[in-house]
Amino acid sequence: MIQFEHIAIGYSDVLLRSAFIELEAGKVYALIGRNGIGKSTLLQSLTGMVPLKEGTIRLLNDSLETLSRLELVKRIAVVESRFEGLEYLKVKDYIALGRTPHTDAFGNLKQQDLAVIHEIAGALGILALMDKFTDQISDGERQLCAVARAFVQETPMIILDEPTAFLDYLNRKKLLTILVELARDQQKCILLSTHDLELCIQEKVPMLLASSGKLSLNEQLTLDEVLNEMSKY
Amino acid sequence: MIFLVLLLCACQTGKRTEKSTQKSIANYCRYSKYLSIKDSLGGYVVLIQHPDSKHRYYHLFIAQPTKRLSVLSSTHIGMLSALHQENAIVGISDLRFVFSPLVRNRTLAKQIVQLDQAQSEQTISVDKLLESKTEYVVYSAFSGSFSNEERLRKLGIQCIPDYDWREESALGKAEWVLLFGALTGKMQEAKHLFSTIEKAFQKEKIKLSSVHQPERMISGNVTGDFWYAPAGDSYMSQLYRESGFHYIYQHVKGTGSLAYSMEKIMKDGQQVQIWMNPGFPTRSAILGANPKAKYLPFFSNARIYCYTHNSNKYWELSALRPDWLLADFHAILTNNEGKKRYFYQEVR
Amino acid sequence: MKDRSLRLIVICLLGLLPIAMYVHLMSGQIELSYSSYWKAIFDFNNKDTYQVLIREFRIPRMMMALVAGAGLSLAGMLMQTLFKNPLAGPYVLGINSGASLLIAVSMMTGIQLFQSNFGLIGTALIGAMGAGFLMMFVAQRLKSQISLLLVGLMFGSFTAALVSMIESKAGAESLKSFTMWSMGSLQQVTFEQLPIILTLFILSIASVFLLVKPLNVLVLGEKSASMLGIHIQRTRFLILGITALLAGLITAFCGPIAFVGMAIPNLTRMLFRTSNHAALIWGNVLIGGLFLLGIDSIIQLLEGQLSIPLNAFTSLIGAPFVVFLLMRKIK
Repeated sequence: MIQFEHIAIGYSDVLLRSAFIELEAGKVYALIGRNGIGKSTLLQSLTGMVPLKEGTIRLLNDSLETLSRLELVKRIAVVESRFEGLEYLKVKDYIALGRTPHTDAFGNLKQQDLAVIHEIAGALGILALMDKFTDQISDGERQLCAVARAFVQETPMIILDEPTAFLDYLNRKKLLTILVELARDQQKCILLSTHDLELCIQEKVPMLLASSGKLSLNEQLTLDEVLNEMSKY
Repeated sequence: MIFLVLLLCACQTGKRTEKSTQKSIANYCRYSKYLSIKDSLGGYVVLIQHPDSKHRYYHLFIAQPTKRLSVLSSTHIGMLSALHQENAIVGISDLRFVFSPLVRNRTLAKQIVQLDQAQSEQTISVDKLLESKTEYVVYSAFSGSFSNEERLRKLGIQCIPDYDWREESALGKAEWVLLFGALTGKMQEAKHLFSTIEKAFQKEKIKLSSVHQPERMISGNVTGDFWYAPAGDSYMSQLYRESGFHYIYQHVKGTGSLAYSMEKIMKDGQQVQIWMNPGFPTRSAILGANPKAKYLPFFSNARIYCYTHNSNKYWELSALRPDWLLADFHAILTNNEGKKRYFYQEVR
Repeated sequence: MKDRSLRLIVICLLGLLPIAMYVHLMSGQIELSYSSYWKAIFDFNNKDTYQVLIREFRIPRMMMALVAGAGLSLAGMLMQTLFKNPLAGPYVLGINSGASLLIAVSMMTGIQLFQSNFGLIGTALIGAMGAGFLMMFVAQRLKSQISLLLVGLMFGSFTAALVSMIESKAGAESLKSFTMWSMGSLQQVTFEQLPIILTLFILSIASVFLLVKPLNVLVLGEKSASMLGIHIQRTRFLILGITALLAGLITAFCGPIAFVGMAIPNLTRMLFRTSNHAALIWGNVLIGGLFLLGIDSIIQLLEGQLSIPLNAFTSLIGAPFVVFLLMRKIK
């Protein structure tokens, strides 16, 4: 689905390098690493905000650089990491914004768009929230709405930058479980950066480990192995 | 104890004597509502009543004439120049508003200091006042009071309010020249000048009483969204009435300005044939400030007169010379184009 | 996707509009007959004072109240969405400062930029659009919106300082003229100028409708909007351009009018309870127009007793409203 071909990422200096890495559809991958190691930079390189220093990233066989903005946003969706809710913006309208790459010049929603929205909201269990204002629901509910918004974008790949940072333990577990299920059911490739090591190991989520300037993919690691790797800077 | 009682009685008697002596001393001012000047002990006692409260008086004793006056309004300069006392001026507010050639020259020669009254009397430069070694500051208190008074008094500078602009009669206004006469030691000249003006004024009035002019007149102009015109009991309106103008708002109560909408002026101005004081010297200048003026029914057809070709002269001398104003009005009312006019010119 | 209730509100407002226009036309101090109105528009006789009054004074004033109220509110809405700040208004980018500066130079320094009667309005328009273009140019070079806002505010302060300096050197007459211009007036527009004003106004509204999609997404912030496919630079450019046109047009003909551009978009959002800009455009145009028509009608009705300048009145109503808004936000 997505291949990192010997990439180097960073702003002025190189932060991380990788050999050939391939991420598959139907799976959730956890991007793990110490703070400041370059996780956010990697995610920004994926979304085209920060150019790669070396190498190529291919998404569905097309190099990222060759894609137009519209083509890119039809392949990658980003879940907002901290959505605090907006006054007078209803949940259903917020989620509907995820259909932006697919709608016409005026943003009109067709039957098909509404169907997708309804389906995703149902899968995430937030149908009851649809008519509420986004600033009047809980943090956990808001995070689910942000996920819903990314899913209705109907992209093969979804990125989350520390989505669980402000959630309590139960909500974190719930979110990760839902992501794993949806990835499997809808054959999406989901990449999320997170510090929830134990949860990821529990859910058997493969890890993209960033440490000592290297990015490596690891299917199964124990907690000790991860911590050991991370302690090397 | 007895000594104290005797002393008290002496004081009382002294007071009574003073009062009876005062009764017999005449006030030089006969028309002014607020100014009173009397001889006293070789000098002058000046009493200026505050226009807004009968019980507030400004009291001044002028022992000897001064050659160091700072004056903040145009009328003050006008009165001093009429007395040929331009040399007594050491401070003025702003050269841009001066007409008197002598005062202009002296200012340019740095013999008179400009006090930077850019916005109001309250913001004059005290430093410059001191630099000019002023003895008296004459102010108008347009905004109600003169905030520097206390401070300046501590610095040894006397501040005198001049309320000529609050006077409601023409001669009452002109009479303030006597104050300047008292200040500069030219009281005789001032009295003589005022007497001349008084006679000329009465003469013009008599001339005007024979003029019967049915032509309707409007005064003022639009500033922003409103037309400002003198109210019926104001100084200007009274002067108009005495001249025989048929000023359309002469019956509207008030001593200040009226603020009317353009609509009202359009309606009331139907038969107007004379337009006084539009505030601009030419028709195109009037249009420049207000393009819609061309719709006024009297814009094209009325005879228009204003002083703006020489505003500084008007502001300096019109208060002192109501006889000149009446002479101008006479020329206007009789449509006498050949006659010399002091302030007004036809606006074309 | 418009809710039924929103549609109802818009229809009510649309219905109120002709009533407000009628009330405004009738608010003058003078009683005028209906036939005068009819003739003034369709059978104009420029010798009839009453017809002149209607055609050259009342109608332009009424149309300008409508256009200014609607236009400023719309521009305010654009600024508030772009900067995600409910305190933004059409003047935050210094557009009216640009107009102010050129008018100050023109009126008070004797440097005449244009000769004819069109001159003052043309000057203001050029000043406003100039400031607008400057901001658009700056916007291309800046990454963040906060920076753009700051540049706009600094530009406003700078021009205000220049104007102050010019004022201190000005003669009394020209200073008075300039002060009067700064007070804002709906009465300077002429009947002949109405077609161009209305054309530009309608064009602007139509342009904003074309921006509904990016505006709706922009509420999420520029980053998220970008990741949903919105072309941020282009959208910013267009928003600024339309704001400059609207605010510039209105400032050129009326001088600066306070508070409308900031208060009405907030009021509209509170009334409509939506972030959908298709509805908000209708709301701002209608509520803004109704507001200024109402205010000016009151001013006209009181003209016999009180002479209230326009900006004083809008500020009188607007300032308490701003305080109210702030208190709500803090809560």
